[in-house]
Amino acid sequence: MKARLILGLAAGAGLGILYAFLLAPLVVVVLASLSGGEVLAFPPTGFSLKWFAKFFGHESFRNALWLSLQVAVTSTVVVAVVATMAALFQRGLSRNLAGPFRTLLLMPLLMPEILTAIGLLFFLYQIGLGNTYLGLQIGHVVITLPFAFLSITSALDQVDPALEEASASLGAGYGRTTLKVMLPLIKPGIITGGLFTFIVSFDMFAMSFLLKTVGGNTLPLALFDYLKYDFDPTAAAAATVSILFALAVVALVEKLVGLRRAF
Amino acid sequence: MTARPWRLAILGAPALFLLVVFFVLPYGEIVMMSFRTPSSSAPYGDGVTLANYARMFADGHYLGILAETVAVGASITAICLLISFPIALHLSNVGDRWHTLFYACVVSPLLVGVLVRNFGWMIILSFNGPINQILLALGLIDRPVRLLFTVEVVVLALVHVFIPFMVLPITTALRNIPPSLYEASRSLGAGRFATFWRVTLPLSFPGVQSGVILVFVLAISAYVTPVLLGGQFVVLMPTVIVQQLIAAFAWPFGAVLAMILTLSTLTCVLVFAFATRGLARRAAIGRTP
Amino acid sequence: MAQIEIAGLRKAYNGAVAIDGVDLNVASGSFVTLLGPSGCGKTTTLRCLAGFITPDAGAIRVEGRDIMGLGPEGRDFGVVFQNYALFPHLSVFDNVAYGLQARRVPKAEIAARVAEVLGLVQLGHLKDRLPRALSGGQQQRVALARALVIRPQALLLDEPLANLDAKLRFEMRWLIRELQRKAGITALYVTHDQAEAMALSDQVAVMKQGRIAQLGSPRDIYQRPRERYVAEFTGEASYLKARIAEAVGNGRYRVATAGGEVIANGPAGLAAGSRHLLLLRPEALQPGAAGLRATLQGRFFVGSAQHCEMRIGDEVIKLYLPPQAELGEGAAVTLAVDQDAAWLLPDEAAP
Repeated sequence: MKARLILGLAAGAGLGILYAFLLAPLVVVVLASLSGGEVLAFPPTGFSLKWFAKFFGHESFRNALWLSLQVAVTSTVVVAVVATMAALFQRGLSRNLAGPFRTLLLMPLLMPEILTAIGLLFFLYQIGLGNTYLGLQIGHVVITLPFAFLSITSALDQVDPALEEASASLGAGYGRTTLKVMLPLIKPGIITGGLFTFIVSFDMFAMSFLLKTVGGNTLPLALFDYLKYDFDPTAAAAATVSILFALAVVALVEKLVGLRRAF
Repeated sequence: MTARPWRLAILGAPALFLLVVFFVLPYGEIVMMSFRTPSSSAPYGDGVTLANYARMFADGHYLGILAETVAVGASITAICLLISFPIALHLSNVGDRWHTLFYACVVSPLLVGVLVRNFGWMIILSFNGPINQILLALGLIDRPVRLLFTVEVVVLALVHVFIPFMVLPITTALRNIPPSLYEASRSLGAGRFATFWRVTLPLSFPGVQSGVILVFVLAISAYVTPVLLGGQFVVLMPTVIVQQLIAAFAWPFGAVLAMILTLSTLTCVLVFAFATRGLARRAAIGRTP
Repeated sequence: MAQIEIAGLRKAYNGAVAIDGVDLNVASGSFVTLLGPSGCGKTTTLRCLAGFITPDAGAIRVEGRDIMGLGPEGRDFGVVFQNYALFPHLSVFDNVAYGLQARRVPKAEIAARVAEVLGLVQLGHLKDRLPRALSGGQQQRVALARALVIRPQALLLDEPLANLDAKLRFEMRWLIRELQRKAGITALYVTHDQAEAMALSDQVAVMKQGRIAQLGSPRDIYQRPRERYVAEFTGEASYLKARIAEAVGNGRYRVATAGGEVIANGPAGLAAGSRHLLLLRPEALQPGAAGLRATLQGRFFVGSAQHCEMRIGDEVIKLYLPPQAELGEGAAVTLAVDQDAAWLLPDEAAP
């Protein structure tokens, strides 16, 4: 009995260390951003929000945040629509077509982002979209599409085909059935997919780095540039903004569909 | 019920268009680019050549970097697996009340950009960071030491980045194991350890396999972390490729390096999948026919 | 082979009581079934016995030895699960050998014992298959072989036939009973199927809300239930309000009902004039010269018989008539009552 207790305590401590390892970098960043001191030191000295003020006052950060939001929101809207259509398309396909279609849609998730970015860099240059906002936006859409597609198809898989048949037997055509039955049922999946799209796009680095538009930085790029020369809590404030977005997404997803089902 | 074919086609068209034009064609473009001649005035020239490949294979430098990249990727994957398995085990067992909290702990880092997480490690490992503070306080060192810019730090940070990718598939595999199998094993006289060894471990293998492949592929192609935390001391394939593309503007040669990296990764993955196919096939939880 | 004693077993989950004081003695070599609807605590009792859950209170003794401190691996019971719980990654042979390997039995002996038990369940030819390549019935037989091969103190079976279709269920009943008899092993069986319980068991314990409502031979619990709940759960039953006119022997009474007077059995010592329920199994009633006066209210044809509803006053009883019987609805019938199949129950509704 005693041996088991000790074993249990040891296991608990071990797990505690592992979870601490997972969260440590995030916690440190948030704490550092609230520091009252002048340098990035740990433990932080005092408490202040001045670094956030400095972050929002910093023009290149502000522009980068704005560009990031613009790209992320556009990706979210485009991807939510395209992925929903693609998910409905997949449901309508026969089994031996649905498989390959699904694989194709998930490929950007399976291939390393940096390779996809390299390919797009070459390709966009050739069709004259090199270093343009549109090119950057396309890159983000391609990478985020599979995330939304996954959560929407998993929501769609939960829908009993009998409901579609019931709707059809009551005289509704495909369009009406889709609008009145399917879309309301998979709404949580679409929203979850949209949230993932937003956060993945907001945080995307490699793709943005290779496709970056002339003079336009997204927030991760601006942070990367900043970190090359400066190492102060302003960077921590920038990073904290990003963490807050992530936490908001986690909370929303948990509320909408539950984390366990979403991942 | 199904839509009429043309309606269905409209639904699928945007996604197909996007992926074929902006995903499949670009990958084709990497292949094409690797055969183009270099040019001093533009990213690439008009001719077609095998010289880029010849240059790569002739220069031991790049093959050395490739080997190191694969080695680093493999060690990241191995460490990741060792750390992730206990977490996955815990996550698949934890009661409903605490489930969300622990799940959020694993998933939240996933949703925070790689850059931000790397930055966290930069703070922790910096001269004024907590690790140095603790070592100083313990009297183990008398002035702060440089912890950053080593391959070990890069490995540590990447392990941290990829843990969720390993934990989630393993958790799913573990959760698919019916609890009655553990009970059956125990009732047949196998203790906790024997049950873990003979039931839990083999049946979690499908999750382990996908986790390992996913993490290895991601680790091999990681760019940000080696640059930020390794600086110029850690030179891996993705860094070299991006250098060729962005700094040297030698697109054809960069494409060759990307091709080689892709093919090596693919080879490793296929060898691994082939070597473990028996384990994976057996462990796939079969449904009653 | 061992005698098992369960005393005062209690278990609650988050305040919801699952079992509330179960006492049960399973004689060595006997076959005892826990019978009841879902949620009655039968599976919880079995799982406490197997060591999968720890009861809040009570004792479990095997051959007089307390086993509460032992984990499932130390209890030496062979458990057969409802979903079979075969290890999907192990072949049939390895599944069956699992318990022997855990006991560090020498390899040669393992091979011999596994071959023997697979022979018993007629699966010797499939020993290299993976479980998923077997049919449901075959999987169940592997599960049985796996539990038997370790020669456990007792066999614990948790609804082992619930996932099989009706025909297979019948065959498996025979097989289970035969193997248990042959091995002379103590068996505790859990089911909600009363026919299964009665076909297999030496003793049936009918469970109700976490307690054993009645323990007895299949014949006892069917013909002499102690309460309406038990009667209800052990088969088709009809009831008539009845008042005891007089005792006509030991445990035998003349009772008055809305359909007239009949002779019925009951517990000894019921007072004349007291109110009871008269339990009538459908097979206890036949059209005859004297007995209960009833009218036919409805009937349907099921092949081997006609199931009929008869009205007596404002009460309705069920019985089976031969398939060829020609009776119109509304016809008046006199029903002879088989005295040995009519049983007096306490009238729980009466004050």
